[in-house]
Amino acid sequence: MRYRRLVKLIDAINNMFPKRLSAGQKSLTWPYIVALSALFLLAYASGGWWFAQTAAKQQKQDAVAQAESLAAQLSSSVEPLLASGELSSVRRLLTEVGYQRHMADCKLLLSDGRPLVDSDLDKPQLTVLPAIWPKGQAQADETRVIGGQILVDKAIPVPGKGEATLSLSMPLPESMALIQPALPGAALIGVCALGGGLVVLRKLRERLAILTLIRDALRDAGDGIPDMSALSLNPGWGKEAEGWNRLLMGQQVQDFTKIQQTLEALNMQNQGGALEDACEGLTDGLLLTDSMGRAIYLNGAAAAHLQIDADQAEGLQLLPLITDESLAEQVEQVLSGSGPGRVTHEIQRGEQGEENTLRVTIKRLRESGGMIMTLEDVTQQRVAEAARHDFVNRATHELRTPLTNIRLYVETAQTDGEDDKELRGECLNVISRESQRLERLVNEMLSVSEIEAGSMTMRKDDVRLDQLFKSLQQDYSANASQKQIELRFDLPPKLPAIQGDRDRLSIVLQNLLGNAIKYTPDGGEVSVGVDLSATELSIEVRDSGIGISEEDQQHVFEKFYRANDPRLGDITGSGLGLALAHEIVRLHGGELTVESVLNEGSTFRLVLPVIAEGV
Amino acid sequence: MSTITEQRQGAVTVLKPEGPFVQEQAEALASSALPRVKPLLGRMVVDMAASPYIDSAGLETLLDIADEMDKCGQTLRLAAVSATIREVFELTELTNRFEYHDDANSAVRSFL
Repeated sequence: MRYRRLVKLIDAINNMFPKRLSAGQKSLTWPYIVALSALFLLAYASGGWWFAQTAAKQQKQDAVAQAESLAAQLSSSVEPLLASGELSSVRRLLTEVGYQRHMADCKLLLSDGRPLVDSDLDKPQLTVLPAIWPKGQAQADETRVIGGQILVDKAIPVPGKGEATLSLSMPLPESMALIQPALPGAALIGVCALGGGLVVLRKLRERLAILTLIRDALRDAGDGIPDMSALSLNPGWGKEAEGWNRLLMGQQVQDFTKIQQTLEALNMQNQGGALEDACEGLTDGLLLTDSMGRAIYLNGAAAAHLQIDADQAEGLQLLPLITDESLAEQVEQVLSGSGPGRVTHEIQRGEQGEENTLRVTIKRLRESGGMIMTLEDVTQQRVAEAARHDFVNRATHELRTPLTNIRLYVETAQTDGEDDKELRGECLNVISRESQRLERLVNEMLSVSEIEAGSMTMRKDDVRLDQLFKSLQQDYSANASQKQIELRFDLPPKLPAIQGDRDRLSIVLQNLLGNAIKYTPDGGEVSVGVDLSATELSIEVRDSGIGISEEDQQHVFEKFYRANDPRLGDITGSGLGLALAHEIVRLHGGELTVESVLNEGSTFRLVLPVIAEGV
Repeated sequence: MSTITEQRQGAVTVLKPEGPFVQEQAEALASSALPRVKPLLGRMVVDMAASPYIDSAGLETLLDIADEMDKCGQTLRLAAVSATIREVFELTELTNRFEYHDDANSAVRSFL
């Protein structure tokens, strides 16, 4: 997505002037033209201001130097005249100089401040030199600039008389006076330069306007406009546009040729549309894209896996459909050629309760630069693997208990039982009991795993229920008697034969009856009842045992589930019997349910369908 | 009364019509199965063990589900189809539209 970054950069430049520019002016060059014009005006104005300031400063310095020089010349001229007492000559000199130099004032002052001579004849002044000059020193030499006036005081010592002060007041020249004549010329030059610059920039903008169009074209491509003609430029924009269009056309022709070659190759192999039919018939999803990641072909399974409409999928951008970030990254890498040529990835899709696990394999196509993607639904495999893993874990745990007992009692019999016949006999009894438990456990586990693997076969025999119940009664009467449990079979006078697997159904009833006796305390009751209708056979095994809590009832048919009930005490069990019974009944098309009340007893109800003869 | 029992075995959904697969059962199965074919990517089994016979509405529903499954690249798996229903499929030349299994368990196993 490099071109996206380029577009973003261009946009950032344009957005620097969001309020000054209208939408139509948001070109690539317009911001630069405005910025350059502003910079030129700023530089021109700053230069003019700096020049004016420098010139005014120099002019002021020159004026002050001239005033001081004039004061020095006048004082040297006035001094001999005052010494010789020619006051009128001094007045004439000061008046003429004051007039010629446009002075505001030019006067001679005595040391006590009285005006001796003033160039302004209207002002009070002495007509003759005083006979006695006032004592004291005249004002020291000083030059000041106050309010646009240069004030120069120059002390004149007059030999034999005293001291006088020459005081000049001259106006400062206007600061703009020096540059004023140059202003119209400078302004003209500035306007001409700005105008010329704008004309040049306008021409430049026209030439660079093609970049704006290329930017727009790139933006369209970024938005996934499938039509390549949207990227072409007006040839009237010059050679750059023609060059761009030629490159574009070349790419289009190249793409088209590749697609055409691919289609021709497919058509050559695809006799009568057999290849497409074959792809559509695949259970796995199959998707083909071009080098830009747009779908060229996808079969129905791929559309279902990606949850899109197959009819509108052609030309669709693939990347936005991939919600898994890691897979999207790998698809980008494969398409750009920067990643490995073939990648396999597993993703989860779907809502809760309907999650799907998909194994996605993507591979880059060398010729076209596109990509082929296969999507395989492995949800059931993953669930089965998890169940198998769980089963192995639990089975290992269950098998360890009897095996440990057997090993311990064998060791005891070998060591301590050698001379103790009674102990050896007890050990052998335990070993025998644990071996039987192990055998039963292994058989049940094998049956459960057979059911889970779908390899258990159910024979469809005629099962004579009267014989089945008679056999059960014989097997469990002794057990019930040992615990003083009343075992009762409430059977109708005539029982039909049903279709089913006799051995498996016998296992179901043995489990139910065995559990009822096992979990019923001494002196309790266990009863077996049968109810027969036209469509189903219902068998109930009821006991007055310890009962099952409501929470445990929900899990009682799960494999290896044992209620966490302290009343179970030493009662052993694998947790597989009811799970096995439940599965066998289910495979017979029936249902096994339980109702129970704690400390009152449980009722297991087995319902089997009775299919009418001839159906 | 229409009843469709539903059971989940692993990641596979087993739908079982209870009783003859006629108008009411067919409508119930269609409303239960059709919207879920795509989300489940076709991991669905119709257990016909409790359906002794079928009518035209039931047949149409099975074909609708089969079409929807076909879009996902799957074939409709039917379990425990009775001889009567098999005969209907043969007479209507629709036998090849479905995949047959002895029971729901083996149909579920076929997804592995």
